[in-house]
Amino acid sequence: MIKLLDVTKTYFLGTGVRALQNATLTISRNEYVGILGPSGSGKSTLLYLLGLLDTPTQGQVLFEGRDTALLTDTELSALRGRSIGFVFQTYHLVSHLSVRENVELPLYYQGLEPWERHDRARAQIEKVNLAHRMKHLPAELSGGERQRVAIARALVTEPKLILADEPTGNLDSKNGAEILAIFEQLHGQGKTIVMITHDLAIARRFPRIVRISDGVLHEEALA
Amino acid sequence: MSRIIWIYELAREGARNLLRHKVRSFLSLLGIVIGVGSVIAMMAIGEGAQQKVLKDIGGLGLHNIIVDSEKPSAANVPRESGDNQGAFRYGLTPRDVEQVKFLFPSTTILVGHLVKKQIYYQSTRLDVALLGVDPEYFNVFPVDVQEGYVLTEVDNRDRHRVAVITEEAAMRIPAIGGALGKTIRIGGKYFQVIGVIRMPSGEGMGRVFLPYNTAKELFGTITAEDEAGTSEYSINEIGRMVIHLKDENMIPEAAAVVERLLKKNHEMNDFTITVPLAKLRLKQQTQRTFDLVLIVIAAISLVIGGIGIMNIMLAIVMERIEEIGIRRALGASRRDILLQFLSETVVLSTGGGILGCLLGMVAVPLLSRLTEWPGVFTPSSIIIALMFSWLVGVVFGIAPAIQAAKMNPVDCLRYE
Ligand SMILES: Nc1ncnc2c1ncn2[C@@H]1O[C@H](COP(=O)(O)OP(=O)(O)OP(=O)(O)O)[C@@H](O)[C@H]1O
Ligand SMILES: [Mg+2]
Repeated sequence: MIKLLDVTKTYFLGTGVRALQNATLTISRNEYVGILGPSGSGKSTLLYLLGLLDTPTQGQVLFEGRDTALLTDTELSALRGRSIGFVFQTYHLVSHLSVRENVELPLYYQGLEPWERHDRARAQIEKVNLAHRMKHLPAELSGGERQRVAIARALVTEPKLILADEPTGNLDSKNGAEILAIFEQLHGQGKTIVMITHDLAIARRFPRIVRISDGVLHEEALA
Repeated sequence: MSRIIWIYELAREGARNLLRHKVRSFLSLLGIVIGVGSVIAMMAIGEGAQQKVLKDIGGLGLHNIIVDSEKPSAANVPRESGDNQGAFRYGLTPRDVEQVKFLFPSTTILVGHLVKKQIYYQSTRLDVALLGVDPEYFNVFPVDVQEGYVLTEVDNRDRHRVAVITEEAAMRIPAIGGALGKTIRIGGKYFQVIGVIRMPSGEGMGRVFLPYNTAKELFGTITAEDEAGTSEYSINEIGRMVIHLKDENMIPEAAAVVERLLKKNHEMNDFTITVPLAKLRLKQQTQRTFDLVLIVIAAISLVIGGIGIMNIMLAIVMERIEEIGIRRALGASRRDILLQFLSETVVLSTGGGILGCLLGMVAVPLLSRLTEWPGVFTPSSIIIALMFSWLVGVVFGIAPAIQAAKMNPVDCLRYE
């Protein structure tokens, strides 16, 4: 589904940080991959590259066999909007938009009519059990509820690939478990999921784990 | 998604964001509101002035050169001997008219004569000016016939005792059923009112017109004037000569020729030449200067308004960095982000334009009352103002919008 070929990402700010070094990684359809590593090791950097939000300093990113370096901004954006769903540790909901409007956003960029966006967003919000919070602003929700909105927003486009950056990092264990249950269910439905985590207890549940330290990837053979 | 819905949603989203900070948005608009308001007001007043000038001067006939006799103020003017002992002669003479006719054979030249006589209807004194005129007069000046007819060649040739009067004069006649057909009395002679006309503005108020020849035959050219108890006689054969040219381009030259001729014939300074077209040109020159000042003021105020808008948009972009990152992650392209912020600016500046138009509409009647300049709104001034504020939105909104669009989405998401 997505492939990194010898990818290096360097931030030139200050001394020049090598956030990712010569990373090669293949994520296949319907995989459920955990990414583990200490803080500052380059996990988020890897995820943004997989999500076509950032471009590598060196190397290639192939999405469904296509070299993403050859795509225009509009094509990349469309691909992101249609095929990839992001869930972030800090939720990243637009604070002045209601729950429903937040969930509608990716559909807006696909050019759907307002009423169609409406219906699909409502259905998706119902699936994460937040129908009663439809008109609320993110600030009026608990952390767990916000993360469920973020998941609804990631799923509303029915993407093939879901990228989650420590989705349970800011949640207590009960809420975290709920969110994880949703992801496992999605995996069961055939979605490809890549999830970053700190938590070794969570990591144990992934069929495949990629470790990262100081920008270097180590594939972990697991049963 | 249809284009109309797309534009509507962009505009609605922009308006919503701006309304979240009403005071700030309003303050950022003040420049453009005041700018557009003053431009609208000045355009209205400029237009009003223009229309007034056109009415006043246009009423004199833009194809005319008007020469009026003028009584010289000097006391030591030559006196007549013989029959009119003691009277003094001034102004245009038949000789002047003959010579002008000779110079411009194919033009209409008409004469008029001011008769200093009182006019009565029964026992009511009308107290209006009395003129003997060539019937051509009514062709050469753009008069509106309200009732009846104007004077004809036959009236003039056969010295009919008929009169055409202006509306203002008609109103002074206290007769049931209006002035038309009534009989007025002038110097003991009776005249029938055969027409009521409306004069172009700028050409006096109450007037009674008689055929030139009738007036000359009955009242002659000797005018008795009571000046501070003494009775002074003066002779003026032709009060006014109007040279009516078909070709506008010939007017300046013709006016110069006529002036040279009359200067040669007249030792005294006893005539004035009025060229309405030259007057109009002069006014238009002033108008152009006014327009230029208007354009400069408009440009300055719109630039100031635009800078105000740009400033606020840069601030808005900075406070929405996270949102930009989110939208990019959810599939927004650079172009989408650009359009989002640009449409917000255009909504802002259009709002400023509308408020500015309202301000102008309030300001113009007030200004008109204070300055006594008429203000005339034209729909085009409002359209122009709105288009300009829209343009300001695009021009000054493009830089902040580009800034927003060029941001790296990952940096936006990491931004605290
Ligand atoms: N814009 C940037 N400019 C300079 N350095 C950066 C930038 N973004 C990230 N880095 C650096 O790149 C390295 C990797 O960052 P990254 O966010 O990928 O780490 P992470 O593994 O996600 O950490 P955490 O677990 O704390 O989220 C870090 O050392 C970070 O300081
Ligand atoms: Mg991170």
